[in-house]
Amino acid sequence: MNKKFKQYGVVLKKELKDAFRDKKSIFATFVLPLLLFPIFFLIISLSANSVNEKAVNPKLTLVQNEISVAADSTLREYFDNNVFVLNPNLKVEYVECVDFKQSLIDNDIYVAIVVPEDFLESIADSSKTVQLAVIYDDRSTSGSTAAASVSAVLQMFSDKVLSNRVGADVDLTPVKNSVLSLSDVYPEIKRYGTNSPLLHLIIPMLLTLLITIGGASIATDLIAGEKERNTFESLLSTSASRFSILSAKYSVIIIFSFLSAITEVISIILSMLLTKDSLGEGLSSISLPADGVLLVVFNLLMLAGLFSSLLLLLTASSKTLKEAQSKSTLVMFLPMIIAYATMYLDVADVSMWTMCLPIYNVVVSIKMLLAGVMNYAYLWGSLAINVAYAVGSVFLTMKTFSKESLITK
Amino acid sequence: MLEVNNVSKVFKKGDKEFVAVDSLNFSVKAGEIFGLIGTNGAGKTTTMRMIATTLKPSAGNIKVCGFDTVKQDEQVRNNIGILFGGDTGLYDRLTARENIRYFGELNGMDEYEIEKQIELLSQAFGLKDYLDRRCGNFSRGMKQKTSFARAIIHNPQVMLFDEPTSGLDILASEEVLDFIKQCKKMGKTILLSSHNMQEVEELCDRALIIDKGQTKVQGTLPQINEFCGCDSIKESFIKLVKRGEL
Repeated sequence: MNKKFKQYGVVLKKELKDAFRDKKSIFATFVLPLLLFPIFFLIISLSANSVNEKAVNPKLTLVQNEISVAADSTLREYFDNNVFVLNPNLKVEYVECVDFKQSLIDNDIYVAIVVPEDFLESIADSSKTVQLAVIYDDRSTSGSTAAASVSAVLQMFSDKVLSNRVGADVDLTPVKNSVLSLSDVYPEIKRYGTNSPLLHLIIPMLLTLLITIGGASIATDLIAGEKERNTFESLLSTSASRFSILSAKYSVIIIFSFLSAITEVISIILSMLLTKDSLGEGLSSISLPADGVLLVVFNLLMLAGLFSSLLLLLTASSKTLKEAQSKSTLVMFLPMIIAYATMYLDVADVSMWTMCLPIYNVVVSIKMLLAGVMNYAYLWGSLAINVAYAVGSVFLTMKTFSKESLITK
Repeated sequence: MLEVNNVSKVFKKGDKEFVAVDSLNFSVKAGEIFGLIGTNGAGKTTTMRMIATTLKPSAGNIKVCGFDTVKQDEQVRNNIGILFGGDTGLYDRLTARENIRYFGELNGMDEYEIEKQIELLSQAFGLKDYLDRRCGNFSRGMKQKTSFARAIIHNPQVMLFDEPTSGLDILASEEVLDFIKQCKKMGKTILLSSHNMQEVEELCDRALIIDKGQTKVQGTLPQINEFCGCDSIKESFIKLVKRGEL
């Protein structure tokens, strides 16, 4: 046993040395994700900042009887002095339009405020209700963001009118009915708990994806590459047992899968910190239970074990590096499809039986952890099932590795 | 040292069977070079692989230094050194020293032994100048020398050469043949598989001509020529294999 462990150590050391000297693999596994995500987040951040700018500098029009009345200086002055003054950051630009709906669609304006004809009189009369509506194009990000800003300031105005009316000793009952109300033309904007929505969406997808395919570039080279370079038979003809050789190569894939996944997570966190003004708000609010983190890490480890042995099986059954790469590309589709398909999965809707589905159960486990919805029965069940899958796949790989076809194919 | 006793190898694919080696018998003594001569697909490499324990015989048994290749495969591998022909298999991203050391470690040698052997072998093969350079940029000849050193780092008693000059130019081939002669002088047991009759005549003490897995003839080279009624191994081989005479 000690001898086999020593041989395992020799092969592992050599394989890691060889892999870390492979510039292409290092670039694909570590450098590319480290560069890719900051660039990706920077682009998103620039885009988000541009949208934010539109939210604080909204182009809008005032509408009465379906006609743009932005040219009406009295109305404009009232809104400037009583409404928009409540948010000094908001710099409104009034735009006169021929067809305000078309202007919304064309993004010439982001928001239209529908104002009743008797607005100025009604607002002064504490017994009257005033109905304002905010209209925007919900397909436009600028429109949605600007509508949220404008509605927020209108809500502040509504609150102010209410407090003024209460302060004016008006009877409370009619005051309630006479509060300026905002139209619900725009939908409520969904907020994600305390954590960043980006973390909820991206982390489960990337972790699962990289744990399963992160070691693929190394895996293909480990046996098919050796066959192609004519080193495999020489290796098998040494005193080292096949078990030691296989387990060392298997460990290298798992190590690379984990390193690849960790690099991605570090890269994402760094990227979010770099762009914290617009994207990184969720980082400070993360609070994860230690036992939940451990369960998720073990689930990830087992998934890495399953896919590493699967990749070894493929590379062992291939004659050339190209053949191994083609086969592993096919295998990569499964985790890719599951990882992308479950991006918007709501953990509250997950059935217990899905713990039997590899990859899917890991995505759910990570999502549970990030959402703070810890279903321990599901997490332990997934772990047990993933252990069974990993052990089964390792057994299958060992059987294949002891076959003569490993050499003769 | 090396005994191949009534060995057969049958490959199965579905219902079909293919007999790669059929009842092969031969033995090689220490300090002897034994040639395994045949065309491509004759069964030479399959025989080599069975001796190297990467394939198991379907029938018969093989003993290397008294160890059975099936029951004592690890001890067998500890006593053999293999050099394959064609593109010599080295790890391009490792240095020559690292390549040689890797095989020494895999064969259970300790640090001191490995360093001592590397020192000896690098002097013998003139490896000193490029021992710490990565093999990816080596010329064919440099690679071949590194492969020699790697194959015998653990000082094996039995050496297997499977078409060792295949794909090499004249100068590189000459170095291989010199190396095999050196191994013979060192008292190694050598099995040489080849279809190059010139090098067989130059190196081998005895030989076996194999065709479609079956032994056509075996003995010393003069005995084979006498049996075939020919003046050279090349003529004998053609008479036996191509014409199917005798």
